[in-house]
Amino acid sequence: MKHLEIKNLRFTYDQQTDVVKNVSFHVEKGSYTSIIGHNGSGKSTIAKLIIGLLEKSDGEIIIDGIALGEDTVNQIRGKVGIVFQNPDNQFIGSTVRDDIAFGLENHQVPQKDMDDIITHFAREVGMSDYLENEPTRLSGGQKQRVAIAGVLAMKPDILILDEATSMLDPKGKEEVNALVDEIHREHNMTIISITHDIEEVVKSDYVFVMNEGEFVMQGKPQDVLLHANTLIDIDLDVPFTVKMALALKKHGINIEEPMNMKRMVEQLCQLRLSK
Amino acid sequence: MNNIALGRYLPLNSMMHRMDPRAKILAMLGMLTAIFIPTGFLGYGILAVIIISVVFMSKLKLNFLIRAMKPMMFMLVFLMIINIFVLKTGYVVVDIYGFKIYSDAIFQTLYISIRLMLMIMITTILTATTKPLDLTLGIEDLLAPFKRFKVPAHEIAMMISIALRFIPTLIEETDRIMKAQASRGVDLAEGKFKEKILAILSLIVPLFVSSFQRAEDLADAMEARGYVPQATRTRYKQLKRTWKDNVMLLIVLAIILTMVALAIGV
Amino acid sequence: MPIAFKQVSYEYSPGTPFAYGALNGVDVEITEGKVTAIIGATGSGKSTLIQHLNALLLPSKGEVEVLDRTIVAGVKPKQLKSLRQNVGLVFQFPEYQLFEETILKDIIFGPINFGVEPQEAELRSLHALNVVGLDETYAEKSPLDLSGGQKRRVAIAGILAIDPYVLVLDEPTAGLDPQGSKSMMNLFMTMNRKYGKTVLIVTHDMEHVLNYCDEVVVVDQGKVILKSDVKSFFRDEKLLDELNICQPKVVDMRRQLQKAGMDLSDDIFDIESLAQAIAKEVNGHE
Repeated sequence: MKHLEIKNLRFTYDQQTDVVKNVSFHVEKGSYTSIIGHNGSGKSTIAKLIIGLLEKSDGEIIIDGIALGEDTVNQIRGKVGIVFQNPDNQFIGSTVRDDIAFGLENHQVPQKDMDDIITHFAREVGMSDYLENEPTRLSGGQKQRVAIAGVLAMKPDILILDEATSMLDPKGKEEVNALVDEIHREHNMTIISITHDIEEVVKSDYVFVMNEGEFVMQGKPQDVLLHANTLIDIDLDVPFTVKMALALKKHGINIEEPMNMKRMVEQLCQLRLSK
Repeated sequence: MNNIALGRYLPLNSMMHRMDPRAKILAMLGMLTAIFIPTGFLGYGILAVIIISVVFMSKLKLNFLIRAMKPMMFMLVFLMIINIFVLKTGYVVVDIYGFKIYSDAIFQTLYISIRLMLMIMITTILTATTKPLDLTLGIEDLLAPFKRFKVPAHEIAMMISIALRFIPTLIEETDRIMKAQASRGVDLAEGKFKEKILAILSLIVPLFVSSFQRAEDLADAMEARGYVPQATRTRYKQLKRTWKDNVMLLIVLAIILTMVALAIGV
Repeated sequence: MPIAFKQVSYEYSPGTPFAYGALNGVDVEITEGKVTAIIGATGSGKSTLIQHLNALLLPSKGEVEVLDRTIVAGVKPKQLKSLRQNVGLVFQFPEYQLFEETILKDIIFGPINFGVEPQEAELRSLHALNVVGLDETYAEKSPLDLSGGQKRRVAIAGILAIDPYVLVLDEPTAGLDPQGSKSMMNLFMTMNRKYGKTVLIVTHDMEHVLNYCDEVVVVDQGKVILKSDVKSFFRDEKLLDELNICQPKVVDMRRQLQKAGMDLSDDIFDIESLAQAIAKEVNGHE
């Protein structure tokens, strides 16, 4: 089922620079989609267009059959949650508890229900012990988890991650990625991850590669990520396993599943024994 | 930068901490009024005793209050100097080679100093015992009756709470930019006037640029989470008033009346 | 000339309820002329450590030797400018320190502050602009018109133009895309190999440590717990596990293959050599 559909989307800045040029795509319910591109390729603009923070110049954005427009924007924002890049600049409350409450207040959730919801989602993201903490006493990864809890509390169907891990240290990245995977699995949440971390792309169902405001490649990661030269040409990286597979190919070894290190090791060991 | 005491909340557990923020704000306003009533040193003595006892009741340490006052010290010294030069009434206290310092200059300075210190103590008690968010909620509730006169109580409260939330972040940012420019040879203490201007610009401009960036990000995040300024929202934090708050307000009222009585010399 | 920490401790907000010991007896000597990575978890004290190198922070205890200077706890150092001229420190997200109307004016700001003659300063600044990969047409543009990555380059050029002896960078690739990070790291290699600068880089990225650095210093809970050359560091599997450091992918894969019984040398640290060694194992001895 088409959960999110985008038709001929265009966004022009200052009426002259095309940031997003005629982009069309759709996302299935419960899928994990990645949009990759270098900084400034227009990928974050798409996220802002979807939730109506920027006004599209042309095209259509349809979520669950509802077209985004002036009178539907609040309805859409209830369906789509977004986590932004900078953990400091999206923490609105003065404590974790208040920050999760912020969205609930906006959506006019009755006060008596709030405590339960807050406790529930704080537990879900593993922040139960930090409810009274101020943002300055949290790590970047913890702040992003709170942001996710704030989004989940509004029960969205789609979660957009707009480079949500790019400012985090490795530990924070791992925490957030693991949490997103869990949410995707357990809530069957539709995930759209906007990123330049190529290793993050490997696990997605479908990937769109963006350059200069348009999609230059799209498909399943195992198909797209093999085009090493194209990726490097548009300032992206190639996953380690793909690089390894390409290097092995030069030595006459063909790898069947170049997306997974464990499988690669297994295959190489079998090859060795069979000789 | 991290040891600023003025306006800082101290997470302790005292009776004052548990008081209703609305009552505390009203009590503070009441006490400020009391301080402004010209009662002479007797009245100020009484007020000082009361305020210092509240400081102890709030479990605040005196040196915390002293640090809160530090930024004022410079101003007071400045005031003292001006008074010495300007005020030439009363009797001569000191005579240094014909330069006379008069009693009124000393008393006037002392008078203002005591008032200022008491005012800082009062506000510090309020900010140190009240969470910034509770303070904002208190302000919002107190302003609510003025909504009919188009006072945007909620928006004001939201603005204050965001400002409060970002103070630590901005302090950190300022610290970082100062250090970054120091690494580029900026020396605020030395240098010619023109160099100093440039040094200050090198701090202010980046701070502005990054604050605007933050403001934009924050606005996006708030909007994405369904915030619409004029729309009806529910409120998570509810304030509760108890009999203790009423007692506190009555005491403050009594203090004001006493001061008035002292001032008109009943 | 040495760069050394001797029993250095540093406490933030001493004597207040917020007092916090960020460094607790750091003892380490940085090798001159090398690229040294400083690694450790967030909050371990890395940033505090490097701010001692140009006396932005002064030790609460112990002493810091930087080039011909010794900064001793409790003694206020004089002539900080000459020290800061010799040690160029680039903070995290340095793009936020730009403030002038034009890029050239911003880069020249540092050298002029340190008393370099205007003409010489301009030459140096234009050169620095080139070194960071931007041509002269950028000189008169406003820094605000640049992309994030370009702004960062200009900020770094602003430090390079001071021509410091030691270059210290706090997470210089944070938030950059893969190509941006790569060319950034290559820039620091050039500064070291071609211009002979001693380079210190605070980083979380083990791939960068492996591919671009000579030595590694590990900071943990305010102490330097290890200093080693990069290769022996990544050869020591037990140590990496103990420190909970995720290994570079190529090392990880080699280890997995070794565990599965392949005979591979512990000295393999790049994809090409690994592929070659695997081929030898899989295809038999040619």
